[in-house]
Amino acid sequence: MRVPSIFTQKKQTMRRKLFGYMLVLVLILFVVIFIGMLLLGQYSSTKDKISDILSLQMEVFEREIVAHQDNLAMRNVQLSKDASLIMHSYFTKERITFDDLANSQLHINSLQSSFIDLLSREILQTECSGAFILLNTTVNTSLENADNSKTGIYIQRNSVNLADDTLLLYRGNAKLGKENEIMPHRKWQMEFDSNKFPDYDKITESDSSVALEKTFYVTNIVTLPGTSEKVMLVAIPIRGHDDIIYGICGFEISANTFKMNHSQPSTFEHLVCVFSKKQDENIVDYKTSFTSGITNGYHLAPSENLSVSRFSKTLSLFSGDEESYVGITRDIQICCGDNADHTLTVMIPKYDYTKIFVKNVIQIVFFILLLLFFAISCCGYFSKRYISPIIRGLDRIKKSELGESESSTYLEIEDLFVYLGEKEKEFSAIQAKVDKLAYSRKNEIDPNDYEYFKMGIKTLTKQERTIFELYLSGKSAPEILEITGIKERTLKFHNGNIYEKLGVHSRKQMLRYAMFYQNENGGII
Amino acid sequence: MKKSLSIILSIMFVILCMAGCTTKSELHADEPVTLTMWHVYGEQADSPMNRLIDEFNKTIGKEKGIVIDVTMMSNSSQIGGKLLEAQADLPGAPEMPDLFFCHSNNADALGTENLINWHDYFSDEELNKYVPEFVKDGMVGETLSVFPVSKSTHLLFVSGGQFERFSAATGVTYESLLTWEGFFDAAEKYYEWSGGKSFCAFDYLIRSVELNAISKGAEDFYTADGWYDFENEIFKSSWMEFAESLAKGHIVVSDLYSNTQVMTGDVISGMGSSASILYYNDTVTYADNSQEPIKLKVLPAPQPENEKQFVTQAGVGLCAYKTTTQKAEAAAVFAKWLTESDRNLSFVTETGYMPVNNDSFDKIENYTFKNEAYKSLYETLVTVRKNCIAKSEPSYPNYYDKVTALYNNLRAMQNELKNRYASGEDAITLAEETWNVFCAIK
Repeated sequence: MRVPSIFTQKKQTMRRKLFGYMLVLVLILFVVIFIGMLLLGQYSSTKDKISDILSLQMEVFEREIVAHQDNLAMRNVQLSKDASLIMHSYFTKERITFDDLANSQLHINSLQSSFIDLLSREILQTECSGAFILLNTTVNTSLENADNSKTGIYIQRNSVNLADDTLLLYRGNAKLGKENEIMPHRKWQMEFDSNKFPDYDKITESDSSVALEKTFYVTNIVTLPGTSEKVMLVAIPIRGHDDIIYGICGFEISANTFKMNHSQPSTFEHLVCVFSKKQDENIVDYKTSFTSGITNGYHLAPSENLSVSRFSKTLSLFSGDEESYVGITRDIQICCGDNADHTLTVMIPKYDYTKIFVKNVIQIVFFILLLLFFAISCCGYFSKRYISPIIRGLDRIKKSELGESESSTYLEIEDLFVYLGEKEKEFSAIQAKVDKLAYSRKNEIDPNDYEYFKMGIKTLTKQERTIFELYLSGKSAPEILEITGIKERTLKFHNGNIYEKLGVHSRKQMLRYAMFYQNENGGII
Repeated sequence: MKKSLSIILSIMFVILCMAGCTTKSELHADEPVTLTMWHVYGEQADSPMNRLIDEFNKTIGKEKGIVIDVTMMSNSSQIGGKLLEAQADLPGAPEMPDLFFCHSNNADALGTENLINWHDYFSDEELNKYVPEFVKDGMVGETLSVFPVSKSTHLLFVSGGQFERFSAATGVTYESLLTWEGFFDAAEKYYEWSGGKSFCAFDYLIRSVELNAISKGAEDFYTADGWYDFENEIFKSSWMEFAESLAKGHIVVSDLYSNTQVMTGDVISGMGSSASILYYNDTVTYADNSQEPIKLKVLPAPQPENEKQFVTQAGVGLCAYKTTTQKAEAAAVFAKWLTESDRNLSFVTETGYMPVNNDSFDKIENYTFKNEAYKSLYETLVTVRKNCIAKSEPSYPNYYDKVTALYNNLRAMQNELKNRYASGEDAITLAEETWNVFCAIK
């Protein structure tokens, strides 16, 4: 790397030198500030920043999910107890047992009527898309698949809009539904095929000694029979007073409800929050996941499986053929029952990440260029401001324009002016004295002798001339002996020759003539 | 040196200051504009429109910088009400969407000055590709505020399995149902054959009465305030035909949508929107949970014998709320994409609507449908388009509130009328009662 000439050239103008040093100072300051920020942890990269924000989003998302599931579990326990109580009361009143429900439209319809009331209340008070009570019995045991046909009521919200309280009857008696202003779903059936309810048998096989809360079951995300809507079902068994499991009850959370209820406020435009059953940690299975985006915004939900790989110390890369994302994952366990291990993922599209990264780089480059611009401008301006009075002062000195009236911005320069003024005065005084002395001595010099002196100077040999000039410079005889390295006798010999050639008879006379000669010739011999 | 350094520094400063201030086009892929949307296509979970929107967002939307975000799916009636609430900014009302599907009367109520005139974004050449009646249907005054995306008409949906048994027993055929005369006769026979079950549930009874009256020569029977001229004899006569059948229990006003009554075996047929095919189940389920395949047969709405044939032309269209020119441009891009020939056909054939693009209509005959019911529907729609004159539905302010009130009244009295007829009361007198109820609605 070439060092700028401003620092390498020995001779520079003061301004350029000062400009260079100021610039170096500014750059050193930048480096020191940057290192300081780095050491104090005040500087973070784009990856760190994105990771920090995503971590915060994850915290919020996790809290919401856990709170929602806790709430569902709590309400589900109560729903189970209420359903059990309704059935027990009905059995007592009608003096029948659970087994008497099979093939009885009368009893089943009576219970369903009560269930509609109960579920209509529950569904509107719970953040869910549907609620159900399914019993281990059927209205017609003679039909094919009767063992898996479960009578009951399954109602759904007509719309994800919470302000819309219109309900639909997905399973149950259509006539009862209509009487309660609950129209049949377009894929309505009278009963639910338990083969199509994930882990129905597992839910109903729970041990009666286990607390009801502990039986809370969260199913995998499945497509509801006859529809294309992905749902997750949470359920608890309905236990009778005689320890018989009457059936199950619970809530449905649809993909749209999840999206609506768990959208997050975020600074990211396309944040994607994914909720999925814990399975292969290297894959995000979009078919068995729920996603949500930002509040009042659109999110690009994955439409393919995403493979997970390490992106940075804290971030993971979720790659698909069509879209890739950058984000973080966290395993959580919701509620207290089995099947509760889930994975949360909070991520942004890769192109958004790249956009943020490029934007940050541009901002940093812009900031550095701006600082550099101002640093260079300031260095240039201030060096000029600083040096200009000095340059002006030097110019004045060069032009001998010094006087008492002159002033400068700098005290040092002003003092210099005063000092140089005084020196000039002293010099003038000395010059005057010299002139006066020269004038007075001029009368003591014989013009003929002086003319002979002048002619004699030109006839001096080289050695004589050297000795003559040493005398003129004020050197004594011993000093001349030491300087020239000649012997005293030789010096006396040369002295005699010099006196003779210059027509003088003493050193004093020779020096007087020489000073007069110098005065006449501007100091030159 | 000094001069050149100053120039370089000045240029650098100007460039830095200008960075990021370059002129942007209205649509930019890096900074997508989001358009919120309310639509009516699939309020019960499955939505072909949502799938199309996802496709748009991932393709042309991504390329041009447009994101469509569905914030409400509901029926046209609810959306109409919510739009007015949103526009008035009532407490608790949702935010006004950028795009929405509604009827012309809703658009009129919102004010055409607040809506995009699609004429500004479609050239005449482009508009000529669409079915002219459908484009005309979207005109509110001089403004094309409601852009056609799909149109429906009213058809007769018959539960095929049950009808075959009924037909075998009585000799009534599908051809018998092509005229109102044959239809009412079949209804009477079915009532008797089934032991008192109604033959058909009507979703839009008043529309059948209107079209029947128009076929028989009734002229403008609407009043200035958007209700009916009860002095119109032909209109009353048409009403009485249906009312008599209603009083006898041969037909009923549906609970809300006739498909629910067909799929529970309460009635054997339903008169409803062609789009209701999306809501028809594959089976009929009886009270004892026994089931049979529905074998849905779709027939044209019956017509008066030897008269001109009229069918209704219904369905909402796409409106865009006027906000920024960028959003307007984005809305036009979406509308054009949505109604492209093949896409329009693929969309409507999933939802039971008629396409709005001329090319799409021509391609129906060679289209492969997903099942027999849909094939039957589109064969019928092509026939209807060839043989019948389409009439737009009334769009007077508060008209549909009055119609809803009428249906509620008829629903409340129809069982009692049926019982009274069964106990010997005169059907004409009972039908007069319904007329009086009708006339009482102001």
